[in-house]
Amino acid sequence: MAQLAQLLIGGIIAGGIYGSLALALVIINRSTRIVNFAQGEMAALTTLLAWSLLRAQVPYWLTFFAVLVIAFALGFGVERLIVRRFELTSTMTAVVATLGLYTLINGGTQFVWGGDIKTFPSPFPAYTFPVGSVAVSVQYLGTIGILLAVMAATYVLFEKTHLGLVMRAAAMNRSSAELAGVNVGLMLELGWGLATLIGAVAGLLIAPITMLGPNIMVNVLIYAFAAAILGGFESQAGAVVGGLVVGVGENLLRSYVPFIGNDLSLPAVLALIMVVLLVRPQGLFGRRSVTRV
Amino acid sequence: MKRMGAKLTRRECLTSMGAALVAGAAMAGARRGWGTPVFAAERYPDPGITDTMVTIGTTQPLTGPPAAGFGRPYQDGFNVYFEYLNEQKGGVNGRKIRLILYDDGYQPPKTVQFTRQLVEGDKVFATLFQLGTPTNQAIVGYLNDNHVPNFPATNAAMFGDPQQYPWTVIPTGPTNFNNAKIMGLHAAATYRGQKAGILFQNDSLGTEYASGFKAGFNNDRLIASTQSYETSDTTVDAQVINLQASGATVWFLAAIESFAVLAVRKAYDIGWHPETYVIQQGTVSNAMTAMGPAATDKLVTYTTFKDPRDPTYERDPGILAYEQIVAKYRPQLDATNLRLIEAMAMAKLFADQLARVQTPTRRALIQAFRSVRNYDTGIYLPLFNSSGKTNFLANAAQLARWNGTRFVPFGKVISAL
Repeated sequence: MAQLAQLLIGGIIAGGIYGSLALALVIINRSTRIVNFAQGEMAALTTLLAWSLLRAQVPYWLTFFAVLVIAFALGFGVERLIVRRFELTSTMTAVVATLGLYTLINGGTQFVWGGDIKTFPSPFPAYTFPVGSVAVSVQYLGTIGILLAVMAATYVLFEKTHLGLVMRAAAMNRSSAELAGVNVGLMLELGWGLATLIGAVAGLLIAPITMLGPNIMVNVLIYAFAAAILGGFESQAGAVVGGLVVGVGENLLRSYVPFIGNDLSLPAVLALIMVVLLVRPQGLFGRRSVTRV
Repeated sequence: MKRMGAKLTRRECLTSMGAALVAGAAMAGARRGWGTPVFAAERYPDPGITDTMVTIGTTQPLTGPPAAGFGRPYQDGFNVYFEYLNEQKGGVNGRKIRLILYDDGYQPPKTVQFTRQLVEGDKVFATLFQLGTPTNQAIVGYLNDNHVPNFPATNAAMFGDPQQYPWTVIPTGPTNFNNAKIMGLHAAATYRGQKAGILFQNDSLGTEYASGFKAGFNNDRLIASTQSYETSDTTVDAQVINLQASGATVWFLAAIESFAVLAVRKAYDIGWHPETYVIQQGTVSNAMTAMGPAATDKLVTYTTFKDPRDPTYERDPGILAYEQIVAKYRPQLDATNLRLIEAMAMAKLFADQLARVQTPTRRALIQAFRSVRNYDTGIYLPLFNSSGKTNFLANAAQLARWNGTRFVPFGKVISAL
């Protein structure tokens, strides 16, 4: 029984990790209609910047907010200077450009920061308390808590504010939005800035748990995509729920289904997602997109 | 076009004979490089060696994941030692050693490409200490087929069969299998009757380690759980949880880098405190120090080297000799870097075996490497000994326990053979 509880908690933690990056993916998609393959690497970059600041004895919360600002500016700048050129031609070209960005940033961070493992401090105290026979860590609770807060905040932004409405409009139909007086370029830049900021938060939450090494985000990105697709690429809640399903599902499958075991746990989860999509292509929380002719 | 049957004129005869002579001389000359007389071909049947120079080659990852930790210190180590050797002693038996080094970025396709270049283009006499298991896997067959002596830097047992790879001698070791076996032997003797659990990386490296441990532990009934992970995983939480649930009190951790650190941390978080045998690639000092002594007090690994940064070896004559060379020829290098000194020791080993050959042939070089007796490299703990059973020259190791800041060797050197 203790084993099951531990596995569930472990799955929730992992799910939180995947869900936080999936959130950033969903935000970019909602505000610009493209999939950003470089999302993970940009999060890794901002986390490494935070690491360098912390090494230079900058206090944690100052570093945290400084990195958020830097992340926003980074996303803003990347959209304006790099991705915009490709967005004007076609969405597909822009997506391929993000692949190139992924390779560039991945190599660049390894070049500058090297390949060794670095520890990263957590904003939460390293205190664990027992719940029954299971040890629950304050750090994990805090991570999930912040994740849910970010999810709620972006939900409010997109669904309930005028700015959110305008951003969605710019993403959905650029030419119409422009004709309606929306500054589409600014909306795209804001979308990227926001997504990179969320990615930065994800990185800062993930790094204390998984430690900073080269390619930390590469594997997380695969799971994040799975989570985002499962939840429906349109929905922030979907991203988080998708992450939890992937995290917990994988742990349970590998421990209790001997046929799947550790080798096939990721393929099994991906297969499960494929089955869900066959039945419900828009994902668990997505909306069916309907084109009127 | 001449009519068939017409006799050759005298001019045509002389011209063709002359052309044949020139072509023959050119071919012979080209084979050895211009300036080497044709009759020298008998004395030097193998390429890459002349009266004044021996040319050897290597591929190293100067870029890529192992570059900072291995490739670049190896390059520096070779260069500084050969520079010292050529300048101080005029090389080996009057022949200077020239090393050609290519950057393969730890990518086997590039290793293949550059190795062909070394053998067919640069015509090296031998290749020295190329790093990596997958990289050497790609070239060992080719090098053996072409009778090129090669001395790879890898601990993978697959290269160890002298029947299969007669031109390969491995100036390092023990194999991953044997290192794990040594730990298994120690575990079985020290923790009699206790159950063991294994966490291994699900590839040829991890599988080799796991088999080695089982061979040394020699009691499959007491292996309570075997868990694997993929390098594409983000956490190893489930595996560690399942290992704890199996009741194991001895843990063989065949995990690398961040996975090992995550596993140790998770074990501590869930209150599992087994005796932990961890492989070399899983000992990430700075991360383990940061975790604190409480989480890492049961860690044991093997060590084959004297660590130049360990105060125990501060006055060690073997290491000091290398450090003096570095201080004289490349003082800007960090002489306490283990890999730098290891490369220098390999260069020295090569030079010493080359000095022993009676005839300047590749076969003689390999025979020298297969007759090494009690050779002290200065940096390895065990002495090097050739064995007819294996290509590896080092087959013993000592265990070391983590003391909060570093691993401290304890006990005797244990042999796997």
